[in-house]
Amino acid sequence: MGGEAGCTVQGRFQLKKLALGTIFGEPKYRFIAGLLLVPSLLFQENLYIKAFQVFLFILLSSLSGKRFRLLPNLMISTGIIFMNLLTPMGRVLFSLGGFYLTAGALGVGISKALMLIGLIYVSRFSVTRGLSLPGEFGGIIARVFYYFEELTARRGGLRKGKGRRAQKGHFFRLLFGKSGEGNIIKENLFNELDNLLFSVQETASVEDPAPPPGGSSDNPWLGRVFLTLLITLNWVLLFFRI
Amino acid sequence: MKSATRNYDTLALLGACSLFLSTLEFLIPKPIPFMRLGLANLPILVSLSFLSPGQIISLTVIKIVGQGLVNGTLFSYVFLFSASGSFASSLVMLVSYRLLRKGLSLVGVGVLGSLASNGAQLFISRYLLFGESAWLLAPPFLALGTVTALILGLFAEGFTASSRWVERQVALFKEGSS
Repeated sequence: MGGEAGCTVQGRFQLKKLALGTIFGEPKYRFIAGLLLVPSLLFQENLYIKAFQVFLFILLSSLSGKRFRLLPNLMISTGIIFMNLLTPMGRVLFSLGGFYLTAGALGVGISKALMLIGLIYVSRFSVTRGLSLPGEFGGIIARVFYYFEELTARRGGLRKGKGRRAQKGHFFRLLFGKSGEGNIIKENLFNELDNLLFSVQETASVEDPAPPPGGSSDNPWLGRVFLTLLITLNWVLLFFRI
Repeated sequence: MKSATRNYDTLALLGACSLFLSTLEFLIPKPIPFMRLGLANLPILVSLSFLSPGQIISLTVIKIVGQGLVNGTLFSYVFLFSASGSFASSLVMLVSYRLLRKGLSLVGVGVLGSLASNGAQLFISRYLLFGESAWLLAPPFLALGTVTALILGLFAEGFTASSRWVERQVALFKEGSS
């Protein structure tokens, strides 16, 4: 019963993922869309519209499976706004001793913070794992991701045989290991790292395929239409006045 | 394995290590925006002893592009910061390693690389984000960078001195180039 329920939940999750993958289009078109969305954010002068765009990009990024973390974004935004406030500009809104909070500096700070956050999430939405870059360099990048997965696949090690794949969690254990493992960190760190590099490199034969492309779609036109509408909306907003 | 393929493979593995370390660094909370510990530079520092200058630059490009892809910052200012800092750091580390190796350990090389990286990032932040206020960031930024570079340099020095993997790479790359 539990297994059936698990299958159902997993099935629904897969279905949802597939549906979103279809809507968001193929990796190549998402990448091109990202390139076209960047100017619409860069040239947007209205803060409210820019904030809407940022919200939209965060939403799209989250729906496409990328994690959104509020605190780092808040810290970055606060840092940028604060640094800009140190250079007074325009109408004084508030003063405390020698510090003047000015409208111009606040506006510039918010605008820069929104731009930074927006660009990060456009990037997250438009760059997917299945993106294949052309040429020899593209091949190396694919291989990098293969090794990256090998180094970080801790869960995979538990599921698919402990012998070879268990090695993959070593990096984490070296860095976050507890109690007895703490001694390993102190005493055998270099040996462990050596073993990890050897085992990962030796088990991964050159003929191993690159990671399979993700985000493929049964109906590519749906994704392309969605991306076209998204780009059009953001470009139209450039000419919109509030 | 053919020499060229092996070179690509080692480059890819080192690039993956850089990505792993940069992902790890991304998770560590930082009091100042854009502050970096430079963990991802560790593979570059370690590989100075066996990769050619061209391969070091390739590794730097892999690190920058991979970081942009994994952290999702390919189209952002962060990417510009990362690229400028990484290129400045790699070039300075390469030159100082080649020219001053006899009088300079990897600790010194790492510190010079960190200063170059932070200098480049401060320059970019002065002209793109913060204006003149960027210079206020300079003292803590440079001080912290130097401390972390010292620690990473000590790690790299210890690892390259005792590592069988590095020893093997040195032998293989010598064999490949001869």
